Amino acid sequence: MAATLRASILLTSIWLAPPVVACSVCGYASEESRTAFILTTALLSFAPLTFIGAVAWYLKKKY
Amino acid sequence: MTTHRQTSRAMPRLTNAELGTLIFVGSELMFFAALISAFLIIKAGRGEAFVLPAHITLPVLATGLNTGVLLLSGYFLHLATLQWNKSRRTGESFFLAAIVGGLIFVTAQGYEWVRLLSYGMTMTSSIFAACFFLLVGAHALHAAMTVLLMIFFYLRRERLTNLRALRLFWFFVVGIWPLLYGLVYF
Repeated sequence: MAATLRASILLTSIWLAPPVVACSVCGYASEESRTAFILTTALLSFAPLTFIGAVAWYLKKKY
Repeated sequence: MTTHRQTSRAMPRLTNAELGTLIFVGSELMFFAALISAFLIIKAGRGEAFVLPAHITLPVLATGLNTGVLLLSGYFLHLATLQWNKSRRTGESFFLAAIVGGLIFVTAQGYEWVRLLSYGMTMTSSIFAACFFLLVGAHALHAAMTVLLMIFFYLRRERLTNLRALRLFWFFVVGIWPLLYGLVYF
């Protein structure tokens, strides 16, 4: 019963909620913005991997 | 086996101070990557509107020279760590040169800020000014704190392992500046 109630509330919430456009570049819908967004996503994705890789490479080379 | 263990204990691949600093540098790297990302996206979105307030120009050449001083400071700190246990006197001289370089950089940045503020460029002047003060200010804060730490280490005649950890962080502060300089000033 409780599970049915929870499911009903969830479905109702989804049905009632207005669609939201949650895109970080929607405010600036230009080609430059899209490119910048893709580049910075790559930067934020690869920066930690590069950093960890560089440290591991340095340690392996040194010892 | 015992000898090997003793040797391993005596010379760890990374000291605790260096490991801790490396983890901290990793988090700082992501902090600056986020700031740079925000800067690039705002710049791309604003296009022609992403400019300095009217009648203000950034001191590109002076800051370029200041960048050279900062890079030299990093090099001097590197030399200081190399000499620290070999010739303490030489090591201390290089360390002092690194501190002076860092102080010159921070002071020049402060002077530049005072001039810009006196011309009316503030955080609320334009979106570019806000980004400028945020990016350059975050870096200046890191540089100033590290210079203070360097002075503290110099006065305490800190041991080499801690000096090497400090060098790691200073390398990060020095290394990221040319990137910020290129992004913001050009």
